[in-house]
Formats: sequence, structure tokens, C-alpha cells
Amino acid sequence: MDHALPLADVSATAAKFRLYEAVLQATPDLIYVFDLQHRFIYANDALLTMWGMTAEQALGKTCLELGYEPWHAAMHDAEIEQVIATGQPVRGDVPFPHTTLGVRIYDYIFTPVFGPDGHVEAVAGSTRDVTDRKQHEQHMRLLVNELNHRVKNTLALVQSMTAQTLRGSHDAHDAQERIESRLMALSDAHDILTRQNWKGAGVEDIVRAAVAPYQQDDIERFSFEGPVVVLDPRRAVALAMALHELCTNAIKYGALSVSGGRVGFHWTCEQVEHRLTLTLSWQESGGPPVHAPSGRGFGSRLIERGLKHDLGGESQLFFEAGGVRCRIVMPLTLETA
Amino acid sequence: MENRILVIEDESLIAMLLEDLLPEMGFTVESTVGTVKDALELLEQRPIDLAVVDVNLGGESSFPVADELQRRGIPFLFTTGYGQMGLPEPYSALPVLQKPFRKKDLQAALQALQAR
Repeated sequence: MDHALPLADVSATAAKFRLYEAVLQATPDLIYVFDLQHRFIYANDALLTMWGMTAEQALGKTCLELGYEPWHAAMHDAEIEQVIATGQPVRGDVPFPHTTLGVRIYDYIFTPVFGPDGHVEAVAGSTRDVTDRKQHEQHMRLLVNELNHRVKNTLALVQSMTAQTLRGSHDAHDAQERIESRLMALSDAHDILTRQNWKGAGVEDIVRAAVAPYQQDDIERFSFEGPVVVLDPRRAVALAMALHELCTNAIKYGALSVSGGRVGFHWTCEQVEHRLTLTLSWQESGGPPVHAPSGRGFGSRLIERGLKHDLGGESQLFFEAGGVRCRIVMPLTLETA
Repeated sequence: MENRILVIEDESLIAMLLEDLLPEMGFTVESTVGTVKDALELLEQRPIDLAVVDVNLGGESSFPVADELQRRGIPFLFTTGYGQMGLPEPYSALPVLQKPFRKKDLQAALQALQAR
């Protein structure tokens, strides 16, 4: 300096300095300045904490000298040179190991500090930990992708159900009713799964939802009992659809088509040769005489063919004189038990 | 080329739809399986001319089946509920049918496979 500043100016400069220092230390962001030789000449507390160093240990050193990976130091060297040459800021993001938090993702901006002659005299930087935001974005992308998959898959199920119902129906009105009630069954199954965050659904919840539309008048006509068993979403939907078909059939032609008819649904869980096996049994009684159908409709096909495929087990319908019976046997993985 | 087709699909309703549609198009559904293990076993046992392969089999990727089909020179069509982005390398160039699909698109895709 050529001449000493008046005392008032010195005190004003000191006050300004305290102000800036307080701001720079208050932010959780990492704030720093490089000189033209790429050495740190300033680092705020947040940055020193991330490094696990004191100002004395860190200042005057380049990224490489501070122990940054060579590729990382070289990347910043190039960026600093770019800021000096162009006078324009650069921005990027990079993973870096925080001393105590582990590897975090940092979003950074290097910006030129211009001297009185208009040349870049230093490069100031500001870096923000964006790990949480990045993870959130990734999670959102996964969710949207998964949702899209589920929607497409459900539409394909609806396509299949509609096509097969139309094949088996004698008129448009009949088809409409069947499609509607099958869609409602599918929708109810989704409600149960949504309540459990699509992790799975309990057999009892699935049964309750399936029989709910038919249980209003006489609660005694249905009895169901079994241990707590949780099925994965695919098996849960398959069982819900099968139960819907059994219920519909019982109401139209079976035990529930006459007063005094009853349905019992019971399930047990047993260990068979080191494997947990779930056995579900549907038994109608007190209904009109049962006649085995001449052909197999969508309902029977869904239960015997579809359920077997979805559950990886066995599923059989018996048109016995005393009432329709259905027996479903499926292996359970240990997690679902 | 003959028309024996293998359906590899975990969702029974969609498998049943394919079992209805494919014979109408002149194909014989040789078998329907829902897991990678069953698909690989079946390929050992029975001659197949074509396959329709769901990309995701109950949370399991069907790529091991795709690899085996390619090794045997059996043309196949992927089906998926994930968009085009669903297929990574080296499968990204293979024919894919998005679910849900039109009957005529299924037919066209299978005829294109046979013409190869």
C-alpha cells in the first residue's frame, strides 16, 4: 500500500471482513478460493471438516497435495485453467469421500475473481452436498418406472380377462356384468396390496375382500379360518381372482344360490419335507345337486390352469354331489411364511 | 419352418391369452412355463421353433433363457411391461412387444421372426 488508510476506513473494512467471515462459516456449503497455481488460499469450516484438517494443514496445497485421487485433481486443474482462460464459471458434480459421512455427491461451481486490471486473479468455489437430492431423484425414477410396469401389466391382465370373458359369454349384457365384477375383484385385490405398500397381502384379508360383496345378508353363510400367511403381490392377486370366481359360481349355481347353503374356506400351513406348504380348501354344502359342467369356462380355467401357474403349486376343482370343492396347495418360501 | 411355440410368461392370465391367440394364428403352443428353471428344462426336452419370452419372470430376469434360445438358434420375441428402456445390452436390438399388445402386432412380430 502506498498510503495508510484513514482509521475509519480500516475499521469499516474490518467490520466487512467479520461479516463475510460469519456468512462463509454459517453455510453448510463448502466455500474456498484457489490461487492461480491451483492452491487453496481459503477454505471455510465446512470444507475443513469434510477434509478432517485444520486451515494450517490444508491451505497452500493443491487438490493433489491434499490427497485427492489423481483423476479428480486433474479434473479440477483443468476446470480452474478453464475459468482463468475464459473468465466464465464452470459447474459439475463429483463423488467424494467425506471424513465422517462416507462418499457423498457434491455439486460445485468454480467462478472467476477479477482483479482491478480485468484479469482473473483467483478462482472462488462453492460446493453443495446433493447426495440426498440425487438419491431422492433416483428413487423417484425407480418408482415411476415400477409404476409404469405395474400399470402396463395390469392393463395386459384386463386385456386378457376381457378377451376371455367375451369368448365365454352368450350375450353382451352377460359379458358386461362378468367383466365388471372381475374388474372389481382385481381392483379390490389392488386395494389390499396398496394398504400394505405392495409388499404382500394376508390370506385372510384377501378372503374377506373376496367374500365382502356376497356377505351382506347373511354373515353365517361363509366361514373362514386359517393361520396368518402373507402372499407376495402376484400370488395375492391370483388368489383373489380365483376366490372371486368361486364366489360367483357359488352364488349363481352353487351352495349360495339357495337358502341354507354354506361355504367353508380353510387354510393350513405345514412343513412338508423341509418346505412350508400352504393348503387352502373351499367346500360348499347344502346347495342344489351339483352337475359337473360340460365344458370349462373362464372361471374353472382360471382356477385350475391359472392358479396352478401363478402359485407354482396345484389347484383342483371337484364337482362332488355334496357341493363344489376346491383344493389349492402351494409351497411357501420362508420369507412369506 | 414349423410352428411349435414355447410361451414363457409368469402371469397366468397373459399366458392364457397367448394360448388362445396363438392357435388362431396357426401356431401350436408346445408348452407354457413361468420360470427360468422350467424354461431351460423344457428346452432340453422338446423341440421348439419359436418362443415368446416375458422379460421379467416373477422378479427374475429371463435373460438366461434368451441366451439359451440364442445358443440353440431359436428365434424369439420378448414381451415386457417396461418401456423400450427395459432391455439392456446385449438384448437391446432384439424384437420386443410392449404389453398390452394388439393381436395383429403379435402376429406381425412372430411372422417377422419366421421370415428371418
